[in-house]
Amino acid sequence: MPVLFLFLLIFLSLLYGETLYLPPIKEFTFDGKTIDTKSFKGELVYVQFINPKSQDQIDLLKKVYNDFIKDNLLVSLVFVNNLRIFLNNFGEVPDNLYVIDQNYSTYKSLFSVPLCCEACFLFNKDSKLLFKFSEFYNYEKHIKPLIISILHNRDLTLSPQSHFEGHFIFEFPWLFRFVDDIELASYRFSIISFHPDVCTSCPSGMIIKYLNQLNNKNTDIYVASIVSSDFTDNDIENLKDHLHINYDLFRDDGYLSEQLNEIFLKYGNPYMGNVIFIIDNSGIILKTFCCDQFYIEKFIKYMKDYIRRNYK
Amino acid sequence: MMLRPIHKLPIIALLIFFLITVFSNANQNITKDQILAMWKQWLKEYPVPKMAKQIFLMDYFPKENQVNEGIYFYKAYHLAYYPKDKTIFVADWGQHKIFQFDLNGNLIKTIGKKGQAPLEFEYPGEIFINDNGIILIHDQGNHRFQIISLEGNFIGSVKLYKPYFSYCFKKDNLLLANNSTLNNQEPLIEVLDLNGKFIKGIGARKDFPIQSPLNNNVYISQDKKGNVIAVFAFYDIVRKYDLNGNLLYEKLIPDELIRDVSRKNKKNMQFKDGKASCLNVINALYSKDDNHYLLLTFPRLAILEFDSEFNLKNYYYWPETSPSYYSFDFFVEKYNSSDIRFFILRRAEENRIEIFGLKK
Repeated sequence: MPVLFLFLLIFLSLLYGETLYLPPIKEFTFDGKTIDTKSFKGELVYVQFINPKSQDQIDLLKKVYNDFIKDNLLVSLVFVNNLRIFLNNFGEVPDNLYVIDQNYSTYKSLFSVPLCCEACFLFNKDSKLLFKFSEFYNYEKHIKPLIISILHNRDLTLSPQSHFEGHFIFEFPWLFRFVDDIELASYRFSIISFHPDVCTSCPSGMIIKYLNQLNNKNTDIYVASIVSSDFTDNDIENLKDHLHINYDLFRDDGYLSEQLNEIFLKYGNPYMGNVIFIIDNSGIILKTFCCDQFYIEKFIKYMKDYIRRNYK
Repeated sequence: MMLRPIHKLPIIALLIFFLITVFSNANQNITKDQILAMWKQWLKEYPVPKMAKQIFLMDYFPKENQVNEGIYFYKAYHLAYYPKDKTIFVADWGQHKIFQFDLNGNLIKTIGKKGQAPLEFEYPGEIFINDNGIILIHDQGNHRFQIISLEGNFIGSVKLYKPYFSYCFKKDNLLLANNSTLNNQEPLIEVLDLNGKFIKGIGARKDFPIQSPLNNNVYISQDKKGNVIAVFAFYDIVRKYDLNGNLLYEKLIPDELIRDVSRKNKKNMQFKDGKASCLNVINALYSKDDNHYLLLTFPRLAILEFDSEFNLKNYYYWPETSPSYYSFDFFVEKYNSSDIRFFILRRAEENRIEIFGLKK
């Protein structure tokens, strides 16, 4: 019988592929409760796979519990691969937290979670997958805003970009202070980018490389990048040196990053860092690039079109 | 029976698939049966040489009683050994902290927690201790190196702006190898001081028939004099440079498995969408005085010992290796000619340091 059950799960896993829907699961929790995911219909369902040796994963569950599960805003289903360590590190398990410690690897494959890592999921009231996060998340920046947006039925068509575009840069003093000495009117337009961190193989490095090329070719475009407050003078000097940067580099004092984070949270968007502002010579923010996975390509395409239109 | 090249194709294809799967952690479609079949095939195809000596698993840590006390690795990927104090430092990428053990596996201390401040880490990867006892930790998530004392006190931190394949910190400066560029004008190895300032480049990149940013991935180490050893990860090539960057030799590694894989890579090397279709059988390089050791884990755990001229001196292997044995860091402690121990940081799912000794 267990073998048949496993085959059924594997079959279901193939059927569901990338787990677009919450699979039907009937199982006992570690403390003897029976759960049936069919009964979760009409509820938002949070599923988390936990290797309890990772404090990050335990902390994530605690945060989701305190913010949402405790007040029954979400139904939770938690799979753990070592109950003893889980109980040690998590503490007392509340009644409305369903923890399953059986067949961990089978359930992992049912939800298409890679062997190497763990993951968490949110399913909507029709059991359809809303999001899946692997281990590299930031709860405050990525997961919490999404859950809040979903719970509040926010119009997600509004984005942080809409907060800036068409507005004067001096409406955002926390950003304007970096360029208030620059005579913006003497440039055709200006580009300011913000990077919490920089590496050449990451989006930040690609943006900086492109901005450097742009700056070298066009003397009438003002280019500046702002890096986060944890960059030392030596780090900034090395950054200029290693990446051959010859435009203005500023260091945030923490305020800019705080403001950006607040705005992104307001729109329920994950804040991934790397925000690019394009400002015309009257100080109006024409365009903002951030957030989605293709924003760099969109930014470069926009710049090419803009330059083609304006440099005839 | 040796297979003719055409018959080897499915095996090669399967192996490529397996290695991409294992090393990129991207695709989970390969079955355990397929891995097992390939593993058996390779065991037959590449028997151990006649000179090979068996090793056996003597011990490991953390042990079950330590796990019960909360001492365990989650994703420990790299270690560093400080012979003067006979102490081991392990960076746990998933727990964002550093463990210090003695050689018997007793925990001495842990350093750090998750975060961005000094002595806080996000996904600490490679860890090194130089001859003076200065510890360097690649704080990957924060894109920096943190420099700390043997006692665990913060000394400094330097941001890193390029991805590198491997690192070495044995003397005063940090050596970094290959920043995944196709630009063969860039040096093979960059030397930075502990303020992150570029000092000089060492060695030239090698031209290969198929262009790939992975071609010049080299494991690096330094011998007693500070000469730099560079072992190509995908080819059977080893080079030795002096600290002025003069090439002292370039040789072929005398091992049939490494040579065959190298030959296949010359034909199959490709790099598309962040995935490589090449094989990597050399898992790590460790140098002690004038001896150099290569770690191989597939199809069997093997440690190849070379002299300063990279002539094969000894071949150690563990006959009980499972197909899923997986490690990318180790060190060697030699008590006398007959008592040599290999400390191997075994990755998931075991997550522990395994100590191997010579079978009497």
